[in-house]
Amino acid sequence: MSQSINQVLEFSPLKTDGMTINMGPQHPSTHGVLRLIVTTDGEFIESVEPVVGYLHRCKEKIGENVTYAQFMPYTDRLDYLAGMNNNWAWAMAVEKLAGIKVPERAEYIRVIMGELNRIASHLVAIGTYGLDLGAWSPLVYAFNEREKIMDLFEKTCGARLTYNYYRFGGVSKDLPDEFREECGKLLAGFDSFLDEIDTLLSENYIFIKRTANVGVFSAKLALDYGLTGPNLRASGVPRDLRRVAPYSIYDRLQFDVIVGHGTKGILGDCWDRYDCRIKEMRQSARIVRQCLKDLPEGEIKTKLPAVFRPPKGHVFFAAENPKGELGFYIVSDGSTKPARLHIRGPSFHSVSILPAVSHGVMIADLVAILGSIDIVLGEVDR
Amino acid sequence: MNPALTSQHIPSLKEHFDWLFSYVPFVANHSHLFGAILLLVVALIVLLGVATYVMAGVYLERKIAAHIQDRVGPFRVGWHGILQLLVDGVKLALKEDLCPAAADKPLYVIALGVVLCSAFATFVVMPFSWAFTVADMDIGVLYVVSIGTGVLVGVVMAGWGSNNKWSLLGAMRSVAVVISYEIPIGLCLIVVTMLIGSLSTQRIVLSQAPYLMLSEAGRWIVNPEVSNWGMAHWFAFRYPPFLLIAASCFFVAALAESNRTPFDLQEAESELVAGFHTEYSGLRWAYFMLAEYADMLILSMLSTTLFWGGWLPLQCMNFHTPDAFVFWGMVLVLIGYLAWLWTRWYIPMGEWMLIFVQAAIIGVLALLLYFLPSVTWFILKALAHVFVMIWLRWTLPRPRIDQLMYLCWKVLIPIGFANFLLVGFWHVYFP
Repeated sequence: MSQSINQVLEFSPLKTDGMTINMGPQHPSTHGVLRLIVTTDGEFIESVEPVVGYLHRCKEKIGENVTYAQFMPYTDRLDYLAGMNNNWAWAMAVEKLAGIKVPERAEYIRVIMGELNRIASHLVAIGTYGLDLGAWSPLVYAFNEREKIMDLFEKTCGARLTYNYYRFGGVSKDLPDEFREECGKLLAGFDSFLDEIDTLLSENYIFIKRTANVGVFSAKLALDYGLTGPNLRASGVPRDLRRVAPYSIYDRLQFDVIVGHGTKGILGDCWDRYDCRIKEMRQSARIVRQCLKDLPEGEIKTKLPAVFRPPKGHVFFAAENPKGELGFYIVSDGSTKPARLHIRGPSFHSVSILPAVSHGVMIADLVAILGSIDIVLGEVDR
Repeated sequence: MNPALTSQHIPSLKEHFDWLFSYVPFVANHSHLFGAILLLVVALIVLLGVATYVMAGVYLERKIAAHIQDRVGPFRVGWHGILQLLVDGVKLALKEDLCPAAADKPLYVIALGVVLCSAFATFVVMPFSWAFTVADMDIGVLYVVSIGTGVLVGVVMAGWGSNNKWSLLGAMRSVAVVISYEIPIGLCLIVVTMLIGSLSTQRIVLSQAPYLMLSEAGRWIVNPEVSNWGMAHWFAFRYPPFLLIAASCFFVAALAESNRTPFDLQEAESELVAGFHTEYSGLRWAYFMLAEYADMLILSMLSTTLFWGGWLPLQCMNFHTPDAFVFWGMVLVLIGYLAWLWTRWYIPMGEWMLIFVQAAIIGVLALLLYFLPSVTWFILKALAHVFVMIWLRWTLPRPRIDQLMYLCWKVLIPIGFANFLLVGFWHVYFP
């Protein structure tokens, strides 16, 4: 549809000069301090150039100046909607470097927390996506559910957003006594909540019109730009690190890898990416249910020496975060601090695809595409 | 249909006034002077009334939105936050009045005046009750539509004058949307005006009440001879289902015309920041909001006038006919059921007490319904429209500009036109 209008424009004698608009860094739907230099022809977009760096905090350099354990709270602030998962990825990278074993119970707690945080992150993603398209209420309903998860986190580790909960070789605190019951209650009502969101957004006529066939990422394009997570799977590529390179206890858990099918339009459109997140939340809830059922008793943390010095060497480890694959590359010189540190943030790769898919779409579509790739600027800029 | 009504003389506000004061010599001798003062006073009442409504409307919107979203909304200032709007008003008034350095200052300032004037000027012809219209013009409906479009001029001035690209985009969308949606609105209006052959708002309302007749003294009274069902004569229910379709099309077009979600593309906050009023702040911004809520009310009132019986009450006016008996029976059962639910939910009390309370509630509500003055009916019906608009806003996402245009040109206009032709044929060949 937009393609054909674009062709008409190209052959039309009425074509006028483009208008360059700054979308951001202060704009309601750039999800943070992202700046897009947009060249438009009326309502149609000719080119988009993302400008990142407004939230750069030198995370990687900081990492080289603090000890391994001290860097843990900094990882909370990468993708601040999924602090647990960031902690987890960092912990696992260092554990891989130093060859630390994690007790069974701690692995289960880690999976529970990671999957609950994945649900919380996806809830914000679909809530704000509704907001980007003009529907206010789903956001509030999503935050209602997220609030319950935040409450659980608060009871467990005392924090609601930046948790600093994971430790090398385990987690900092055991689950509180009432956790199992309250988490069970949350999961019991969760499916009906998702059904409600389905009626408000997924099956809403206007919502489908706005998202289906818009911002199509073909599998090749998505792979070329290094997209990971739901953004890649929505294009039909079944790459989920929890399945293709299982870490922790994921090889023992039952869950489906969700891929897009082009249900409402072309494979890899905005609706597929949105739907991928909805379905992943159902899978996450399924994983948490299994973990709660099989949760073993025992230690929650391996004893480590007071001064932690990993062996010399280098390691790359990536974990499946809500936004995609979060990777840490650590070079160790055997001291208490990493010699070099690099972070591979999935949102950075997601935002890089914008110029490739934004030619010829309308301004409203750009907002729809930007919302559908679900970026967090804390992770884009690091 | 009451053919007599279309030819009869409808007494104006001035004539009602003259009739009332014909026994006070001083007033009667200076009829023109007092007539002018009367007009001013009435205009002032309407102006202040609408301004007050806007504050109430914002409060309603926030409260309804809050309850839709599982929140409580404003709650701190006054009882259930009822004074929140006053406090907000004070805050807005105290804010710095910013004007961008590169703005076209005259345009930037005048735009607001144009928007406000054209929004408020349309209330002149609104038939608040059988006597209370500032001016009952022969071209009433045409006047509303044409003066109401003046808002658009102001919006374009604001969008251009702000020297902001987002504002300009908002204004561009506004022009496209409002001009297009004038057509389906016109097509729905024309059905009604075709049926009664008049554009006067009072005549449109009176045509929906065949049971009314003019007394010797020039007052509207109920004709006891005519059996009626009250609301069955409203235009929305005539020539079923054609006029109901027209009423629905009108409502959808009115949503687009008054910048309401799902069609609020002119100020879509996630795309255009705030559209044409991005650069306005403080009181200027508040006046834009005032105009927007006034706009919403105008179209609700217009819809009420055209299709939903204007100031006419829900029920028929006399107790003596059998259909009135059936109607009141249904109303009492409904109110009784609601009262039963309400008392069960909120007030813990004994069975006997419950029955008394219910009887009291039924009695009071039924009396209220019967004795509600016509102006209340008019405002209640308009507010019902406003409620639906608010409800939709907090439920639906918004379409894209091309989809909105598609809805107008390829859905509403063909439907409106076919509707117009079909009603015309029905009216002429099967009167």
